[in-house]
Amino acid sequence: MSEENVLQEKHGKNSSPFLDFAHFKTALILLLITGVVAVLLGVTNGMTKEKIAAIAAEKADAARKAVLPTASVFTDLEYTSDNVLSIYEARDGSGALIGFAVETGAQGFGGTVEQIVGLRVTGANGAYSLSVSGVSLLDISDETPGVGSRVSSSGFLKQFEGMTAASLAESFDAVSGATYSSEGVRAGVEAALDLAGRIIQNSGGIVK
Amino acid sequence: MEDRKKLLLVGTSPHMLTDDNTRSIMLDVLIAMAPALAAGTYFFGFRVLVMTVFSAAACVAFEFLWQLLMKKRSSIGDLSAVVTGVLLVFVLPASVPYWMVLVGDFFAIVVVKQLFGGLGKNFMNPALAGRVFLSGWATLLNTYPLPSTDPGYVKLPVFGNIPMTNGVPDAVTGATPLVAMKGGALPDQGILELFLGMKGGCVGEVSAALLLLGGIYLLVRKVITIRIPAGFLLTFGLLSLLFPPAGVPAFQWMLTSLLTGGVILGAVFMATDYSTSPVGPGAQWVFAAGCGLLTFVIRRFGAYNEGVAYSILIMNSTVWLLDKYIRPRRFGSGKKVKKEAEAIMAEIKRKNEGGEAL
Amino acid sequence: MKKKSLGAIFMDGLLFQNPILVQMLGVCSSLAVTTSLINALGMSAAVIVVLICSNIAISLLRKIIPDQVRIVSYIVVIAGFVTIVDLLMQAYLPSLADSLGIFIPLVVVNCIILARAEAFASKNGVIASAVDGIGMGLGYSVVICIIAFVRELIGSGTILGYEVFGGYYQPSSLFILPAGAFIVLGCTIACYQAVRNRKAARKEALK
Repeated sequence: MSEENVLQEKHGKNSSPFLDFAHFKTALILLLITGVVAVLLGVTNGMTKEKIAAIAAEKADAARKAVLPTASVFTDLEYTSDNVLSIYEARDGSGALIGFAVETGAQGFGGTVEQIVGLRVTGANGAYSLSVSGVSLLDISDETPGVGSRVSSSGFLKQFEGMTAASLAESFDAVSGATYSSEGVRAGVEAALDLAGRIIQNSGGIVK
Repeated sequence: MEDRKKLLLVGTSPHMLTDDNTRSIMLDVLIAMAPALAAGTYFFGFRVLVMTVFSAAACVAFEFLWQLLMKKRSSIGDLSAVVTGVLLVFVLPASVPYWMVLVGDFFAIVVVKQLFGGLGKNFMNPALAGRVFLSGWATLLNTYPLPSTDPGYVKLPVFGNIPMTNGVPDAVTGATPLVAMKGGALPDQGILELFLGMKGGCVGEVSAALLLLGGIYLLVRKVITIRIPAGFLLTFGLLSLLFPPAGVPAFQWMLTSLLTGGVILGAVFMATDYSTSPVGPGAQWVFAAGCGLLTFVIRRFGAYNEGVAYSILIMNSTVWLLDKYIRPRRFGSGKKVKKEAEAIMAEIKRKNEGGEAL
Repeated sequence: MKKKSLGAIFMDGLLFQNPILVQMLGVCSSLAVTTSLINALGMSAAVIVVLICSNIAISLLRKIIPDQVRIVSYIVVIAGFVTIVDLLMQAYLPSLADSLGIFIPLVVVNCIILARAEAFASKNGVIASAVDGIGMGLGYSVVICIIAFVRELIGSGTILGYEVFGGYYQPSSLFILPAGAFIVLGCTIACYQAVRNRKAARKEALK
């Protein structure tokens, strides 16, 4: 008996396998399973979407506040530049500009070093000075654990506090053995200072 | 009874006897390494010699203890553990603490050699694997003391560890020529200085001249053949000659590349290790060329400035494959012979089918 | 097939058919998340919960799911189920989601889950499947916690983040890197096999 005959025997004389009830049932059950799962997913997503977004925003705000504790409102300026992912303007309770929170991502050893740089703006009447108020790392998972990851030590990150663009260009201590990762952090801070400085200048101010 | 004894003595060819055994070969290797050890001691101080003796003794001790523990026949008499111990120190900077040497010895002998079945059954060079295992202590392993010929040289303490601050040894250290070369520039040292060994680096790798002397001894004693060292050095040299960094004279770059880092040490003493290199001549050439190619690729495109250890270890793990597919031609085999044999077989088949008697 | 007792099913998962040591399942995640003990504990919790629930779900659906499309159905059910748990956790238990968040998507692709659905839950009753999930989940957890313990101790000199050597020890970053994971996993499997072979030899000698 040839293969074709066997098939015909099984499915009845003139039935094509596509119209076969057994196959139809299989497809239907699969459709049913995927359908139920999809509906459940949709319902859950609808229920939790806003809540998750609120939590995420709260978390991002907290991260920005960690480097600029005196700020109360952050507004996204929607600028980017080399190594800068986003920049937020920080104002205190009275609405006065006190600084910037900048998310940077500069090349480290294994990948991008993502961090938040807090910048403090002082001065008035168009003449301002810009200094680092704090650096906190967001994602250094591409740096070698135990070597590059040592840039997360507070001693290394603390040295940036109070630095201006000029003093950063002057000196900076890299973590020994982790030159590239340290450079990633430094380049991020530099980019943050640079972009914030340009923003102030564009709005008519002078950075001392 | 007498007859049976005779029968048992029949072995496969070749029916020749030599005085060579593992012990005599290893002794030759040790003799060949002596000039390079002398160079290391001259350039980095007496600490090197003490460290080498310490490492060799530790390797023998680990092998002895392991075999005692596993109730196996002790094989420390064949001197292979001594060779491993000396080679491991050869690929470490002179400033590493003694405990690191001990850890490397343990990994090389117990994990890489004995866990895989002992001498001849390890698939990786134990000394190199020991060094790579120590790369976890990256700062200690990548700090190279200056050689005694440098004006800034400070004597290393013979015993004990070098004092450290924040995990970095206090010893006066300097960039090896490889650091400059990673930046695409020639190092400060000239070709002659590099050839003699006046540079920072691992203990046994500095003096190319004395390493080559040892290599010639091994060649004369027929412990190694020219194939692996030559294939390694030629491939690596040719690639360096063809692709120098922009603005650097090609020939000088080639010589500098060959004389820096562990290229010669690797080609003469590491890649030629019997149990971790292929058997057939063709496979040996391919193996050696692979080592040269990988070293070039790692040095040029990788994050590290040296790639000899990794390329030899990577090629070590391809040896089974090379031995399987690149076989020497057996006597009486080959395309021509095969064709004739096929013709005869076809004739026999034709006759059989025809019902004719052969 | 002879019915196994629930105890035997549990011990199979924990020891004799251990997913990592014997079946070599979930090796990928066991290498990736074992850089610290706390990570391994988080992953263990996620795997145990998902494995039990997915085994129960598959076992309940085993008569409905047609044979030809069973693998697709398992994946849809498991992935959908895990995603729902993930979303709910993010919304209502954000602090727990913070510590387990990165493991949840990893659990879905962990082959233990699919392998147990195919090899056990699709052929056995609900209770047996749940016990299999507990056993296999615990077996996986014990092994990754051992690996993580060794890697964190040697690689960082800490346990659960606490310094244990008092500053005298220099950690080896190799053990935090993937190479260290392979070495520790290999040694763990070798030790397990050595003990097992010795036990088997002793049994043989007693006969």
